Amino acid sequence: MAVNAGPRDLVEQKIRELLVSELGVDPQAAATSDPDTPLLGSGIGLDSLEAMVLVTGLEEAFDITVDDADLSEELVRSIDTLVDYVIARGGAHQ
Amino acid sequence: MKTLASVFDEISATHAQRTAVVEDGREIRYAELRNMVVVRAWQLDVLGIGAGDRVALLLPNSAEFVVTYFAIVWRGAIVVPLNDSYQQNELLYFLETCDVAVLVTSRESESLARDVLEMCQTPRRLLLVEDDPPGADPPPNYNVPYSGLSPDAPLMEQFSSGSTGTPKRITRTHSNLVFEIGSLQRTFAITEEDRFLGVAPFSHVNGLVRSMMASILSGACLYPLAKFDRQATAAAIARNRLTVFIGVPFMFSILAKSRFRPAPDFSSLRLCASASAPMPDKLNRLFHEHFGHYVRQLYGSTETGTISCNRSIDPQLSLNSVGTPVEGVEIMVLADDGSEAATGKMGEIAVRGPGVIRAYAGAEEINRDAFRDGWFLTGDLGRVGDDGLLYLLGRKKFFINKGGYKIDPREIEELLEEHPAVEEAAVVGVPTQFADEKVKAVVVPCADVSAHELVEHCRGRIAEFKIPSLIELCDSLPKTSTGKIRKNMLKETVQGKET
Repeated sequence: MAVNAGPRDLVEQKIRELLVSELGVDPQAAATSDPDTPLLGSGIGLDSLEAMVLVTGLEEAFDITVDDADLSEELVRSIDTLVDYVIARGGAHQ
Repeated sequence: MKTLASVFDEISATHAQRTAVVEDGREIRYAELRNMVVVRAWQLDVLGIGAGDRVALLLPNSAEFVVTYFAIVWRGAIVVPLNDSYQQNELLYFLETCDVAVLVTSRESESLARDVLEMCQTPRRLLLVEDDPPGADPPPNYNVPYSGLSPDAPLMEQFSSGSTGTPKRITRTHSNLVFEIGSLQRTFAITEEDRFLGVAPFSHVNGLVRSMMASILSGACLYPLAKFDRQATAAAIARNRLTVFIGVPFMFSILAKSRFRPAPDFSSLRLCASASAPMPDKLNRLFHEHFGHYVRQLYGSTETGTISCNRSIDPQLSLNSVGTPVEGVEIMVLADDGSEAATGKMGEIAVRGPGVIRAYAGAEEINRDAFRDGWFLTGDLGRVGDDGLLYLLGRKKFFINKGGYKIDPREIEELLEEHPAVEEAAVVGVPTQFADEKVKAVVVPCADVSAHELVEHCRGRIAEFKIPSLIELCDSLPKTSTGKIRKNMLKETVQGKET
């Protein structure tokens, strides 16, 4: 089910849910991590394959297409950077 | 039986004017590829490489990988393909264990390679694919491959994870590989008209043998991709009208779930096959819904080569089966008493055929258990259904499957236990919905330490894909009365029942 990329906190909440449902991140860590916590490596602990899984989940949740050219370490640097990206792409405004 | 070099020699001469490799829009014909192989073989010779020497190959999927692989073979030397995401510890282990004489890599990995070579106890040489050849033209005697080898001579050394904590060294011979390539050609009717996607890593048997070698040694055309990107992969298939895509479930699953606008045209594909892990039915059906193809499950191992594949006319009735043996290979499901299990009954899968290794190097005890009356016991559990198809049911031995890579948990446990604040560590795989597992470490500390510190301890020492993405600190590990860690209990915990 696609959600509207509306208020920033709703987008952020959906991304936190995806971290749990798609990637098995500890629910408490996903819920309480600072939005600027690094998603890769020593922060949330995702690797490049998991970043691809997360982005695929974003596409489904927000009905957007993420160009692989955009799929950089900078894009998946943190929850904040993903929120910015989803909002910039217009999410599921229909 | 021929050597692999003589097969390449024949193919490159027969198909001289056909395109062998297309990379970044550059087309390399077989005649040019052969010339590149000869020059690289000369470079290796100048570094002292001759028949029987071991040469490690640390390159991503690329034309340079293809050139270097066949150049090593051309010299009669032995290829040691290494995962290009390996870090210092892993590279050092494989270079030392195999007594590698030369490491071939690219400028991109030069710094890491030099650091590792410095750490080696005996001198080993470095060759960069960007290095200039030694002169204008190779001497004329390089135009034919080294001919002094028996078909039973070693061709390639790879490693297989096992339950013992030490990777098992697997030596495959020229005859093993020549047989396997022929078997693949006959089973899948591969011809010079095929166009192969080369996205599964060439350092692993799936990408190396079933994509790179099957393509080149059939006179077909190979499209290597250095890494798996969804859109680049889809574009390569659609734009070049590729016919064969052999990958891992993660790739097919991600493609099935991705949003493509417009949907790429995969109608040219005639074979989509997946190995290294089970492909989930749901995602297989989704892939079919989006792209019009079912993914055929393929079964093989480094020790045996390709064993079987689901080639059913109506695969949707048996999507989770790995089908029937490929041409020239036999399988048998063994009951606990070593006899053949009845149809439908679970047992260990044994494999026999000319592609199967005869023994592990220097592992007599393991060999006694793994090889019996000409059969190799895979450690995989399965059953043959009423439909005559083989179904895999799991492993007798424990390892983690991350994106198609097999990870020995003991390797990560040992690394974590090297940290002064770690008393004991257990590593398990937690299943994901993408048919692989994520690496989870459960650690008993003996001093103050954070999960972050432990991740940083691993970083740079092992490949990124092996670094635990979940670390749980606890007071003790659950154990059996004999002291064996109850890993299944750790899995239950980490799968969220207590979180």
